[in-house]
Amino acid sequence: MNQSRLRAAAIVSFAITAMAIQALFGVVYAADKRMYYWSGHQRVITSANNTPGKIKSSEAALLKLIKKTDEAGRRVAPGLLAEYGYFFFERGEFDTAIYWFEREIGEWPESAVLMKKMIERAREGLNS
Amino acid sequence: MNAAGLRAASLPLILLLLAGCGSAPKKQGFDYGPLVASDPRSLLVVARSYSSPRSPARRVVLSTITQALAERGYYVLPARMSESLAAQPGSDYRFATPLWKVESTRRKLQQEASREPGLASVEKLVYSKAQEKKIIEKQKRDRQKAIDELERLEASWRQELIEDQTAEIAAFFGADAVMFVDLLDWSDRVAEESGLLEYNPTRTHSVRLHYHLKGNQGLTLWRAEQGMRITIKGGSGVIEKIWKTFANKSGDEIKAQLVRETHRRVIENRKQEIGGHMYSGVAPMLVGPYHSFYEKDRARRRGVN
Repeated sequence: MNQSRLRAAAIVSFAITAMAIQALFGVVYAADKRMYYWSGHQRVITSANNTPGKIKSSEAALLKLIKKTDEAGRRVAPGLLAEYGYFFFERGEFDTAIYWFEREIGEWPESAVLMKKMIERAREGLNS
Repeated sequence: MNAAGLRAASLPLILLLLAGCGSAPKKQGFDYGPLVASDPRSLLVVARSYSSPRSPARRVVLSTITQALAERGYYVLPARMSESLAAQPGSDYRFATPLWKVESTRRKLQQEASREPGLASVEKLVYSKAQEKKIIEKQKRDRQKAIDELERLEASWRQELIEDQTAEIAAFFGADAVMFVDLLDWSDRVAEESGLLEYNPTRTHSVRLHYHLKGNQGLTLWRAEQGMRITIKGGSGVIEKIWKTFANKSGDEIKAQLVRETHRRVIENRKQEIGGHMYSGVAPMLVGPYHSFYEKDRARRRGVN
């Protein structure tokens, strides 16, 4: 009898410990959960000075990321709308670039100083 | 349940409680005052590599740090766009300019500028007096040219030290603070080898990252350093890739590519640690305003300091 009680006590204590550890890891996991989607971001950053083909593919990856975020009803990560707009700016498609720069300001007011500068440059490009 | 059973059952709980006590936050010596007072919302990340300018590792670091800071609640300015703007002709801020390259040119010019015009005694036997005069005149002109170039370089060199320009950079980009990340101590041991076939892929490669957050008034808000190392086992993939890409290149080019590739592998392998370090080190970086722990974290730091 004593043996079975001891076994039961050991099982109970094991279960409690396991639950505590799970709860602990759960907290860590929850804290580690990402706020934004980032897939393809590294490709965008490493695409500077790359071949036009690679730039094109990183631009496509970024658009996919933005669409995925929009569809999920989440906030696009800081800077990504501006990065996407900058691809158009580099190609001289200033109208489209302005749209994305304005969207960045709408999502992230902290970007206003830089985005307003970029919009100004894009407007200069449109008028030239 | 008897006493022995109760003891057996309570032991893990006691251990857990003790573990909880042990992990209570300790008082840190780091002065968070300036960071708390500055309370930055928007950050610009500037990643620099001193010894491997073309290394893709620098860009991997730039992307990783950008993501880590954004995930911790800061607005991080678009990294590719900011670098591109800084690299444009006429820009005063060249983030990615390798200081390594400037330094080697400076050393070369210093050598030329300090060289006394004149011929060696053996050379005097070969050249006539008239030729000697011409050669010395040319040496004088070259020396003066080196002195002038050195002066110009020194002036632009000061410009390269962009940490002194933090206030201007922050104002231009509209950032509350600038996070400078330097990649240091690239272990260049691969370059000691004479060629591709002698490359030992099982070496341990290490990289050190130095973080320096400066506020838009130029004040240091946070500093940290992180070391990373990996031992590459097997590594045939690296060799194959480089062999295919650089089969017709010189030994030096192959060596340089090997160094870049191994550095990239160190960073890629330790990518998860890069962001994590900022928040788990001795003096972790505070979370930003978009993070759910923002108020709590800030209040705690105020209490500590």
